[in-house]
Parts: sequence; structure tokens; C-alpha cells
Amino acid sequence: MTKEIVKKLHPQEKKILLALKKIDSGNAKKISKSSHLSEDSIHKAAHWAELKGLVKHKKTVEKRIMLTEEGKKYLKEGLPEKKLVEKVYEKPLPLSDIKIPNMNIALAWAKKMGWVSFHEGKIEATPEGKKALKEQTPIEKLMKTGSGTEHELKDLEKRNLAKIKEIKTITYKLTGKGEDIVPYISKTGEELGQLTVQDIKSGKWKKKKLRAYDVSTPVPTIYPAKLHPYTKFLNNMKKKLITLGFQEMKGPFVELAFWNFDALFMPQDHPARGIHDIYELKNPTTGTISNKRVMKRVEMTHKNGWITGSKGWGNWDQKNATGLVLRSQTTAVSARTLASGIKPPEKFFTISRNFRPDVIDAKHLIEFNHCEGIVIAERLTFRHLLGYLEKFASMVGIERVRFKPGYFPFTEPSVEMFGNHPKLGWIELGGAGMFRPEVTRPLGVDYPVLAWGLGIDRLAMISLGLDDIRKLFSSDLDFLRESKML
Amino acid sequence: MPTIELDLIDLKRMLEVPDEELEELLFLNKVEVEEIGMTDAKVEITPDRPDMFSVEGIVRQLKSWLLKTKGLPEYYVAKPSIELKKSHLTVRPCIACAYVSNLDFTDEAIKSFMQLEEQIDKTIGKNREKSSIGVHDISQVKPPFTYKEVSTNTKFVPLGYTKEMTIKEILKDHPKGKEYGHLASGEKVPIIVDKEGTIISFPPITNAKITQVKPGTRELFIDITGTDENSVNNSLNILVTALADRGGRIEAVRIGKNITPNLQPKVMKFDLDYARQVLGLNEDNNKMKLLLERMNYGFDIENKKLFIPAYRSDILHPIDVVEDIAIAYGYNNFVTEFPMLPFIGSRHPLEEFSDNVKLLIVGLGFQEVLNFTLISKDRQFKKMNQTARGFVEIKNPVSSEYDICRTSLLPSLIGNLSANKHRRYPQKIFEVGDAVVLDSQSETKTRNSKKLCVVDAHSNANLAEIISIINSITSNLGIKTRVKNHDNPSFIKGRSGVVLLGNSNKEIGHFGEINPKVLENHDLNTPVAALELDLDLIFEKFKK
Repeated sequence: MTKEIVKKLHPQEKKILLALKKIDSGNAKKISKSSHLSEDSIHKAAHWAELKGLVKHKKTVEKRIMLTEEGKKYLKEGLPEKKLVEKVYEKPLPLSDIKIPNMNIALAWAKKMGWVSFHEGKIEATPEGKKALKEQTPIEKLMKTGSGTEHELKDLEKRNLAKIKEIKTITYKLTGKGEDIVPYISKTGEELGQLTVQDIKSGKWKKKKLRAYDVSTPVPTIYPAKLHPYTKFLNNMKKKLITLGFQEMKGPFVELAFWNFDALFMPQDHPARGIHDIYELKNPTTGTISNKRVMKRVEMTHKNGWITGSKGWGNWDQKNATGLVLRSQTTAVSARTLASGIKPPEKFFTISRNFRPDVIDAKHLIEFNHCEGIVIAERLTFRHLLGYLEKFASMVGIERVRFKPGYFPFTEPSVEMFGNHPKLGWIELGGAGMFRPEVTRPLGVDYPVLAWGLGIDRLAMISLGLDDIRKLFSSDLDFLRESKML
Repeated sequence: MPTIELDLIDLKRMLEVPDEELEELLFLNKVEVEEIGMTDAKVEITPDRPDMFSVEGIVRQLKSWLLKTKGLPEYYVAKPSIELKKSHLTVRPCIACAYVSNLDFTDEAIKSFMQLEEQIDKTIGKNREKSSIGVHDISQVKPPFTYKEVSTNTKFVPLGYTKEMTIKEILKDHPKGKEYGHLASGEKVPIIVDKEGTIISFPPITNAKITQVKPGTRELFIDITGTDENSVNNSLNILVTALADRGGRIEAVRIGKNITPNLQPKVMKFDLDYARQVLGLNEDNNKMKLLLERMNYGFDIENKKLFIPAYRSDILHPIDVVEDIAIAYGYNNFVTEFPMLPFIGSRHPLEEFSDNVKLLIVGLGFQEVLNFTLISKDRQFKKMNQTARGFVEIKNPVSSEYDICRTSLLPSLIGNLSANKHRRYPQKIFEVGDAVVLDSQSETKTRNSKKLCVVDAHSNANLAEIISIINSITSNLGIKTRVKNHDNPSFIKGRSGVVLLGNSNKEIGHFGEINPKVLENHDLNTPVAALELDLDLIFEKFKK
């Protein structure tokens, strides 16, 4: 045990311990003489040794008298009140006949001490005054030797003859444990701290001892650069979807109302197209629908159902479809993908941003991610859709789900999925459905299309343990630096 | 989604159901319970089922689903005794009416009816534009009624007032006039008058005081006016069937040659195989018919004829009926199946490339940050010492903090530094993300632009360091680039440049030491060097 302690001692600690053994106890100055270390190093190393229980420190406060210029002068020339007594020692004199410097001070103190008295306009020395002249007064003693009562010290300060300075000294002494280990400290050889290129090249390290370090000594914290926690969560989801055979699709943030609404068979007076639910643009305001064939079919489907077997909505105006909006649902990306001439069977997904007017708070963002996808193949059924949903739930660690009939303008049947979370109970995981024929046929797809969306922001909050949705996009460096790897 | 207050005592009086089963029962029938207490519940109903926006409608659905009643509900409509004459109208030309008697209007019934009225006006009526409801006690007036247009100087006593007001005054001062005035902005407005010319209604704004419904009213005259025939009829059908479910006697109203309401079921050709195919069910015809009946449909197997109750306004296509079969079957009773089809998944190539770039930058010791695409014009341009141009601007921003789409990422990241002013330095951050830029060639006149922005803030941040990073990125991507001095107001004059592709003059990015003026604008006092690269262009080159 003792050897272990010795091994981990810093060379400076060793020097101090050895010095203290020699001098018994002492302040840094005293130790410095014996150890040849700077006073700063001594305090630092003594602190380390004290933490190990080898050294004990004692703080003492010493009052020291520092004479002012005036004090020094009086000490040399004598106090003014004594000079006054000297002048009137032989016979009383009128005030005007006495010529000494600092007359006022002399008079005031001489009177206060009772060394002089006034008699018929003359000043005469009292017996005490005469006696005092022959002796060293306490204040003179204090100025010469530095020793005196508190009261005398105060007088001295009051007369501005001296300043009292408190001097703190720390003295160190070995503890019993310290005493015990000193014999084990070898005095020979210099120890190496940081191994240098020169030490290695020159072979110097062979002759020196490499000092052992205490690995439990605190060190500075460093932070690795990382991906954002939310990115990591989303990457993980993407990886899982790719494993399930989904290809990633992409679409623009600024979207034609056509792809965001009309192609999804949302009637032109649908409330989601209102100013409170969709960001419209001031500049640029309108775009052009380049796929005229699809546009014509969508138009007919809205007006009278076209060949889809639907009644349609009765009207459609191209003007409302060419308006530009900020995409409010990634389903717009699905619509674009379906219209792009795909060859089923196919599976696509996207995890991307959407925009909706709202006031930002702990539960709402104006910009958020949706995770959604489509599966296009012959003979797909509603049972397959539910099968996919169960798979997604288990992908996010939820094994128990239940389905609620739901409503989305572009799917029928529609379903909302709830999952049983071990802590939160039943939570809504997402919505899904089979695209309506009024959606698929105009886009040129004659197969069933399963479409699903997961509430990815909500799932991320649960996974990352956040209770405020704004934190998903946090750029607070402390939060990011402290965030755990997923 | 429409939310209504459900009186549970009222509901249980009409349908016996154990407390513990009610919530689940509602859940399986498209009704989500938001809050539930001993006597009341707040529930959310999907907007496709306006017929269920009342206790009566919900009970009708549940009773049938529980097989307490099944199939098409029959509603008796008595022959008309009241007539409404319709003159030629240039506004709100559609009207349908009904007369309902034998009402026992309890407090619960009134509450449910008023709630239904309000929700129907909001959803089917599109806030009274397509259709709006008027309900009258006509004991003080005399049929026949006339629906006609009048000038805005016409006077009557509106609901809630005791003195006569002109239409103009009502539009200006009446609460409903203020709320819906935009729907009656023309010179002529529609009104309904009685035999003696007494105005009973000014749709879609307000009724007259004289026909105000009072406690104890046992007969109602209902008018629905609007711009859309279907909305008008659907609203009326939902209202009168709800009243009939409470024992009301529906009597038709003659409107010219027509008689309303028409509660005859709508007929649709329906193929059970289609439903079986979509749902993946193998139930036989009789079982399928029972499922339809559980949702209040009638079905003729032989002729494949489906009878749809008159209050269902949402059936556009047989697929809507297929969902109802699934609801009748029970969503949680389906045997789920995961199709094992051979698919190869993949990332989008640009996204995969972006991911690789991110890892490269993390390797250089930079922490990833995420920012919104939306930003303020001020932060994007002014605070960066730039002139605003070439950006997508939102018409209806909620906050001026987010009124444009960012055209570059640098302002967001300088903003991040500002927010992290009191965090430990060095601060090395980056973002790979989308900006939105104008593009006249695109059908959306804009396009997403994938960018990389790297920002380095510490006491010795400088140009050399940032150029080293650019070189490191491009050489790791195997792309030849060169840099050239180029002044940019966001950077210190003489300490910024552009990155050019190969030997061309194609700019793929810019970099420099941030202008102290910009630092000052962001309340920063640490030097910052930064770069921003266009990943779309780099990816194009990378692919080759």
C-alpha cells in the first residue's frame, strides 16, 4: 500500500515530503530553501499530498506594523508632544514663545496624556510630563519593537503613524501517514513526466524512470463531433424501411396545389386548403402543371368521376390547382411518384419536411417531418395494409396495436393505428389506407396502392425522451454535446 | 376534426350499453373519445360522417352495429300541407324545407339539435356558404311562404333584437351579420316571407324574431338555403332523420313542383366480390349482406343493388361502402398478413451522397445542427449584410420570424452561434440541408437546393483553416476544384472567395472570414470562418 502511494507521487510531492521530514514544519519559503521548488509549486504539490492524507496545513494570521513616513520620522526625531514637554521643562512659557514643528499635534497629544497644563496663559510641564520625558512611552515602544496592546495599536493607526497589515502564512507539516512513507521515497534519479520524441530517439528514457500517474485525477472533458440526435433517429428509421424493401422518393418543398391536393382527390373547397391550414406564396404565386394528361384526368375525376366509378365533386378549376404552396403533406410526393410511370410491384418511402401555419409551442411546429410510404402491387388487400402497420409498430418497439376506422380524403378504407407504449399507454402511431380509385386511376395506376404515414416527430420525441417538440430541432451545443449515441 | 359534446345520460336512455364497453364501441365506429366523465363526453367524429354529429346519429349507428336494429331505417314522410313559393333568385338559388311536428323537445334534445345544426353548417355548409339552416316556430305566421330577393333597405326585427332593422343595419351591427356578412354582399339579398309579407328569415344571416323557437315548441319549420343542391338536401336529410329518431313526425313541404325532404334511399350497384377483393375477405354473400345491414344499408343480393340511407352524404364510390363493410367486420378482427414480396430497398442517391458528406464533416470534428427551412427575411439577408433578392416569400406567415424560405444555410448557422454564445468554444458546427431557390424552368418555379454549410468559431478561426476544409472535402469526394478571391458583403473584404469546379468557372460554393459587422449584428465577439457548398452540383460531378 505504501509503495503504491509512493509510486504515484509526483516528483514535487516527493521533494516536499523529504523537506518536511528535515525541517519538521514550515511555510513555503522555508520548504523552498530545502527543496529548491518555487513557492507556487510547493502550494500546489502540498495540496495534492494533503488530498492523499500525507500533509496537513495550518493557516496563521500575523499582524505586522508598517510605519508610515510620519511614523518613521518621529521614531528618528522623537514624538512632537515630547518635544513640547522638553521646551517647557525648565519654566512655563507662553504659547507664542514656543517654536517647534507640528505644534498643534504636540499640544493635543501632550494635553491628552496630561503632560502639560495651562497656567496664567503659559504652558507648564506636569510632573507626569517630566517623568515621561525620561522614559520610553508605550507608543515609542510599539513603533520600535512592534509589541503593544490592541488599544495602543489603534492609537498608532489613528495618528497615521503606522498601518497594520495582516500576514497569512500557511505552514505545512507531515501527518503520521506522511511520516510513514517518507522512508520509502528514493532520493535518486530524475523521473520523466511526458515522454518526448527526444527521450525516445536518444534512448534517454532507458536511464530515467517514467513516472506513474494517478489515473483517477480529474481531466478536462472533451466532446466528439456527432450527427444530430434527430438525424440519427431518422437514419435509423430509413435503414429499417430500406431493409423492408422500400425505395426512397423525393419531392419539392414548394409544391403545386395540384399535387398537394387535387391529385389526392381533395375537393377544391376542402377545409385543409384554407388559409389557416396551408402556406400560400406571395412570390412566386403560380406554377404550371406539366403533365397535361394527368391534369385532364384529375379534372374529369373531380367533375364527374371520369371512369373511376365515382360521382366526383361536381366541379374543378385549373386556377386553384396551379397555385403554389409549401407542401403540407408528403402524400404529394407519393402522388408525384405514382404519376411518374412506375412499374409495379414497387414500394416507396419518404421522410421529409412539411409545412403548416401554426403558432410554435411545445406541441406544434410549423415545419415537421412526415414518414410515409406506398406499396403498389397486384392483389394487395386491406389485410396486407394492417400487416404492414403491425410491422412498422414493431419497428419502433411497439408490439400491441389496435386499429380504428379513420378518415383521410385520399384513402378508403382508412385506418388509424394506436400502439400500446409501456409508459404512455395507448398512443396514436399513424394513419394509413388504400388510395381511392379517384386517386390512383388518374395517375395511371391500375393496382391497389397501400399508403401509410407514421407520426415520426412524436415517435422521435418518445425515443429521445423529449417532452417539447422544439427540442427535436435543437441547436443548443450543450444539449448536442451531452446527447447520447442512439 | 369535428368535436361534439355527448350527453351520456341521454345516450344511455336511447341505447343500453355497459359503461366499460362504450368507449371501445365508439372507437370501432369512427368516434374517438377525447374526454369522458360520468355524464358527458367530448368526442371527435371523422368529418365524412356528418350524420353522426349528434347523439341521435351516433345511437343509430351503434344500435345497428350491435345488431339491435339492422338494415335500412324507414322514415315516414307525410304529404305536404305547407307550400313555399320560389321566385327567380340570382343568389343562393337552392332551397329545401321540411315541417316536423310531435316534438318533445327536452333540454338534452335541444342541446343535441343545436349542436348538430352548428356542425352541419360548418362542415356540409362550408360555414354557411354552400348551405345554411333556418329553424322556425311558425305559429305566429301564415303559410304559404315565399323565397325571394329584396333590396338591402328592407326592414324586419331580427332574432335577438326588439326593433326593426334594415338589412344594411343587420349586416353592420348584428353579430351574425358581422360573422357571415361576406355571404350577403350583393345589392339584392334572399329572404323568406309569409303569406302577408312578414319576413321570417334572412339566410344565411339570421331569422326573424317572430319565428323564434321557444321552450315548449312542438312543431318546427326548417329551411335550408344555399348555393349547392346536394349540400342543401344532405343537410335537411340529416336534421329531419335525427328529429324523427326522437319521435318527430316529418311532413314534406311543397316547393314549386318539388317536394322536400326526399328520404328515399339512394340506390347504387354494388359488387360483393369487389369488397371481398379489397378487404381480403372470404365471407359468403349472406354474411356480406349482414355486414352491410350492420351499417344501415339495404342490399338485394340477386340484383346487386345497394340501398343507401338518405342521411348518408359521403358515399361517392363503392369503395366508401367497402370501408363500411370493414367497420362492420371490425377492424381488429381482420387476420393481418405481411406480403412477402421480393423488393430491394434503397436510399435516394442524392440523400445517400449527403449522408456520406455528413460523415466526412463529422470526421473533421464538426457537430451537426438542424435548422428550419423557414426563416425571416431579416435574418436571411439584412443581418448578413446582404441585399434581399431571389427568394420564396410566404403570403400568410403566422410570424414574421418565419416569412420566407431560406436561400442558403449560412444565416441559420450564424444564428446558431448567436444562440450558443455562452457555450464553450471552439464551436465547430455544420448542416446539410435544403434551401429553396427560384427556378423558372421548374413547374413549381422553384427547386430545393441541397447545401452544406460549415462554420468554425474560435479565437483563431481564419481563412486558411476553412480552405483546408474545402480541399479536404473535395479531394475526399474525388472532385477537382480551385478557389478564387471574391468579395462578398457577409465576409471581410479581401478574405473571402468562391469555389470553382475543375477548370471551369462554375461556382459551387463560397467561403471566408465573417464580416465583423455581421458578427456584431448577431451579438457575437468571436472570429468566425465559414463555407457553404452546393451539394446538387457537386453530386452531379461526383456521379460522373
